[in-house]
Amino acid sequence: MPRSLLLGLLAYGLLLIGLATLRGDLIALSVPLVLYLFFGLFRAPQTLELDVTRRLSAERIAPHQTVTVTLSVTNRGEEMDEMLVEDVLPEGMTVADGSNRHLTGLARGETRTWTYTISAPRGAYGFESIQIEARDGLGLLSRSQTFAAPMQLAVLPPVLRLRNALVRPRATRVYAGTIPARVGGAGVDFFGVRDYQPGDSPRRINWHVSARQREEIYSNEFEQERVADIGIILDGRDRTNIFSGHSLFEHSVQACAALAAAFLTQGNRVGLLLYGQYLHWTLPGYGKFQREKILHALASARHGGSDVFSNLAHLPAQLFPINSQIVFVSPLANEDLGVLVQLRARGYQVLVVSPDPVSFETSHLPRLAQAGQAARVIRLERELLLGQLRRAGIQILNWDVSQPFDQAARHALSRPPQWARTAGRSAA
Amino acid sequence: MKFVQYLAILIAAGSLAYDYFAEGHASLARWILFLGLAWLIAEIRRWRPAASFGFPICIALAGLGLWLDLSLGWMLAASSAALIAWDLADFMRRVSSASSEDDVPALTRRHLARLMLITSAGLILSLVGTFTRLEFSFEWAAFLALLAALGVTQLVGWMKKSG
Repeated sequence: MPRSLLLGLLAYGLLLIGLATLRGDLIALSVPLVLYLFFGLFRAPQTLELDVTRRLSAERIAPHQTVTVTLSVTNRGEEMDEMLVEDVLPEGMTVADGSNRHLTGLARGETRTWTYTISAPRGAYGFESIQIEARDGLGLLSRSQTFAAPMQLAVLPPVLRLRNALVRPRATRVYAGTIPARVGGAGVDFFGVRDYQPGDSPRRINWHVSARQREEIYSNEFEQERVADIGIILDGRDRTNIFSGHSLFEHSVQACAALAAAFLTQGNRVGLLLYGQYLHWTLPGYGKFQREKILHALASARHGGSDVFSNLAHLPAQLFPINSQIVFVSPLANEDLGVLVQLRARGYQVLVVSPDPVSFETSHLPRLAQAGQAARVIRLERELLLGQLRRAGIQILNWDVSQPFDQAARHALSRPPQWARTAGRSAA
Repeated sequence: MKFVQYLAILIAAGSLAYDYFAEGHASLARWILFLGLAWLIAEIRRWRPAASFGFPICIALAGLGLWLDLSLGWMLAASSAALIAWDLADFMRRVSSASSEDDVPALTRRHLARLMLITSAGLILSLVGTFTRLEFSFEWAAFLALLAALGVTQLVGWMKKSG
């Protein structure tokens, strides 16, 4: 029961009984209660004429970094005896220092400012409103009002720097980049020999081949390096990400962020598809702006379950240009083999970055003999799956998540040194 | 502030029990003491609704006391102390939502000053009203009763409007 109602009932009850029975002492007993009630009614807040603002020290941060929130309230109306100000925080956000809730009185024209710091795990957070409840000095009557103060805070995934992220799609774009284009021209790697053409540098003349011919001179041709279209698919299906209640999804997100940043730094055109509870497509683009777009998409990425997208049958491959590079970041399920092989058959160059679910899950299991045996069986199954993918011409990066992604990617995605490339070519 | 609240509960229960006992209602006085003690323990153990039960019971017992021709002074003291205890229970609940940066001592000082002012004014008005006896005709009594009923209606209407 509200306090004012209880007090009103008691005070008026005594008054009415006193009047009905003509007992003045009962009326006298009700006087302190009536006075208390009248004071509450007299000082009750009518309208809240407040200027409420919120400022954030940053709009994008790394996970568990802190942001300082500055909250300011100015009273443009009548004096308020008591006021509870609460900045409504988005779910998942925690107050690291200070408080998002303050109790104060506010005189006419007075301004109060508070600061507090917050931190949050990866995610996209939307601040909506600031809630203010004003009361009379005795707390009998109150008036609540919600002040809209929409703001966004993105907690982006950490971006590990990959020195190299070598992919070899069949088709490249026309601009110069770092991906071997399978076309002769200006480059670094030896590509072939062709007739000498006027304007060729004498340093490019292949004297060994020319010496074997009587009148012809031949020049070395190098492989052009260009930018390419790269589509990254982030697998957000619960069935491939959740193991013994623990999620591999954060690792997949981290890998996506590192790969996207590396590909964009090389000048490639990169798009991102989140495939899980829903489809979220970030259109392909170049440069720093695209990096921000992808990082924001990754910040809000969530894993989840869906009947429609429980397998890869509904993967919209048409989003990716034909013969382009697809990078599939997923712990993998056995049923994914068919779709990935199909993609390869349609001309896509496929790189699978797979956080290893077997080592991940066993690290969370008790060290029992049965668990070890089960892990061996599952590992064999996974090795079989990876072997089948490799045989289909799919590049695999099997990532044990106990080591950082940049270390795992250093060997698997780096360009072999010049001597190894030359040796490889001559061996071929 | 807690001390003031506990003291107010003891005064409320003590005043009622003393006068009931003095006027020969010993068993009722024992029950009043028991209820006062229960309210005090409930407040110490931070059982929030305790004041919502303790306060109306004290007011009802004070009203009953007056009906039984007990002293108005003791009954007024009991009802005022119960009002203070009830108010402070809610104030402490409100203050518990304040952060460590808020100036709670200043809020408390202002609140206590306000509460003491209202309670003292109420007590003085009641005592003045007791010594100044006015004869009401039936018409006046009916008019005042109507006014009181209107007041209740206004209060309920205001509360509905404020949500």
